[in-house]
Amino acid sequence: MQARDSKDSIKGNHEERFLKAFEEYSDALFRHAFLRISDRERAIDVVHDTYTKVWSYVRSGHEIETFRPFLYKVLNNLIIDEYRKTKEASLDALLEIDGVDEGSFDDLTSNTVESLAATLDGKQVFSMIGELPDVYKEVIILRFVDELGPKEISKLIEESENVVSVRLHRALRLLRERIEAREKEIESARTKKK
Amino acid sequence: MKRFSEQFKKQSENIHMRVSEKAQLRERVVSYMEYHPMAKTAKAASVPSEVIVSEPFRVITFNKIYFRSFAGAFAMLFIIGVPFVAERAVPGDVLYPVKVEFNEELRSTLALSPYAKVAWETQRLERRISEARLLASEGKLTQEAETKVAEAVKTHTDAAQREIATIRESDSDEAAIAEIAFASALAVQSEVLKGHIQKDTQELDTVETGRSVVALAEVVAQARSLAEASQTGSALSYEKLLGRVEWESTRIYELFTSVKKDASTNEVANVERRLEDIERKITEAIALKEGTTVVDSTEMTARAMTMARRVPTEEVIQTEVVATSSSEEITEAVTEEVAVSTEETTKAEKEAIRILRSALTDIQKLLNYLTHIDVRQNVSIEDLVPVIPTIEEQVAEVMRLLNETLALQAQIGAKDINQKLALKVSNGQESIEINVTAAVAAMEVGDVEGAQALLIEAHAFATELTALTAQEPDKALVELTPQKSTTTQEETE
Repeated sequence: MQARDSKDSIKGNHEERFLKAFEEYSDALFRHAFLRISDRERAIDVVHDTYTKVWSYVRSGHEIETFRPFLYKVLNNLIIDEYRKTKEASLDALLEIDGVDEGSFDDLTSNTVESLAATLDGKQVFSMIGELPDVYKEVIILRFVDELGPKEISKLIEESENVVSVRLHRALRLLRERIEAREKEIESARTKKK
Repeated sequence: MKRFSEQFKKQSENIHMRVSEKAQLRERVVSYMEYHPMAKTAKAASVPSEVIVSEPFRVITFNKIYFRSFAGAFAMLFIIGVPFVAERAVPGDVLYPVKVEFNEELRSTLALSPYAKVAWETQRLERRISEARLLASEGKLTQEAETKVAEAVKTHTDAAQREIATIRESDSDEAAIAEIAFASALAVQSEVLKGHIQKDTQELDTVETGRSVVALAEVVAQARSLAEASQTGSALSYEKLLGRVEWESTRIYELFTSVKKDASTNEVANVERRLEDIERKITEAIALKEGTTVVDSTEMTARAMTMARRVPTEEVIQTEVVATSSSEEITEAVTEEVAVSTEETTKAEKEAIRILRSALTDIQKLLNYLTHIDVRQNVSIEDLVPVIPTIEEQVAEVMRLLNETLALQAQIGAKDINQKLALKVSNGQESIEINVTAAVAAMEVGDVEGAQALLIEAHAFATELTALTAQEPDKALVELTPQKSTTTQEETE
């Protein structure tokens, strides 16, 4: 009888813990998904799929110690799937961009990332994030929205920490370039007007 | 940097699911969990549903689940419990119909063989009667209830007779045996009722407050006599009967050894005595039967042989033992040579069957007596199965009677009888004398029973005369102490 009780409580634990994870992370996951997919309905669906997948994993007898990285991992994979389904072309383009830029390793330290970030206006960057290629969007969101450390991100996207840092740096640089370009445009438009 | 991430974060926090969206998503996830519960437990899956259902509903759903599980348990309890309780019901109780119409009918259908059916009908009959007696002893027996019980007795008797008839179609011997069992059960019940009525008349209160079981007793007695009458009419083979008797006697010995330690010494002695009687009956029957089978050609020889056991005079016992053992020796010797002939039932076989029949009846009655406590309470064993004296006991009894009669005669003879009684006494003395001499003569021929009957008569006469002459003074006393005798005489006069 006692053995059964403890077993039950473990089972109860599974469900309780899972639902707690839902309460805690569903919003963040949705935010992440929405920022990357830019579609409310689909973002919700992706979050839903994330949770059902994780639940199936729990059900099959796997023990999950911390839900957060696991959930992010699943979500990330699902988002990538989503991209593959819909934006295959742009993904290729994106990879091309990645390849082109691969040579420059001048800015590998997080210090430079931070100093770079310091020069940017958060509000402005946020509004522009949708324009970024997904590989950059991914790291930016993970880093600044989900506030994960480089190590966590590297695990999640299965890249080395270095790659994560480089990507972050490039993403920010790209953003700055774009902001600058836009500012130049505005500037030139103003001078033209003058 | 800090500013950037703060700003960024702040911006991102503007993005969130609407409450309705989140609730919907949650519901989807939870329902997914419910459809895919943790291994094998539907119960575990229902736990998360508590959270989305608002508080008051939660209570109701919970109760419903509880109610469901308890409803099952309750129904089970009801189905099992009611018949159990109903077993104790008596006519007039709410559950009595359950007992009679459900429990007993169910058991009827469970009794598959006709023999089991007869046994069950007999038992039902016994149950009806004991219910009636229970009601009567509590003073609650109404006329209606009694009529109902009488009807039930009739129904069950008929049912039993029907079953016996069914058995007869296939096996007349079995039918006859079943009949014996049934008749003896009826006899026991009849005796029980008689005992009950006797008790009632002794305790007048019960008769005043409630009805007694007189009418019922009549019905049962009628059924009994009917059953006994039909029983004697049916044919029965010796082997089957003997087999049955042996089977039943093993049963009774087993039963007896199991109840022995709880019974009083008096009861044990009583039962043992009856068992001995039955044993004797059986051996007698076997001896009779085998005597005839062996010497089938000359039936008279067999008769003579059995008669030979009744050797004159008081030495009967020893001679009997010798005779039986010698006849048995003969039997053993001859059976090897003579093939067992299947001749028509001889007189001796009929007699053997008759004896076995009575033995079987006695066994059945004893079984009934031993198994039913209410039978034991209401009937003495002597009423049910009277003691059958052995030859030696008979002889001893005869001797006792003879001696007593002679003693009484001497006593009467010693009295100083006055004129009024003189004629009566001398007449009485004369008839006693005749009986005694006739008895002695009978004893000499070996007719112990005849002698006993004669002596019982003589003894009765003698006691009567003693009573008559009790007030008369003794001759001897008159002679020895004249004074005292005269005073007694004066007193009597």
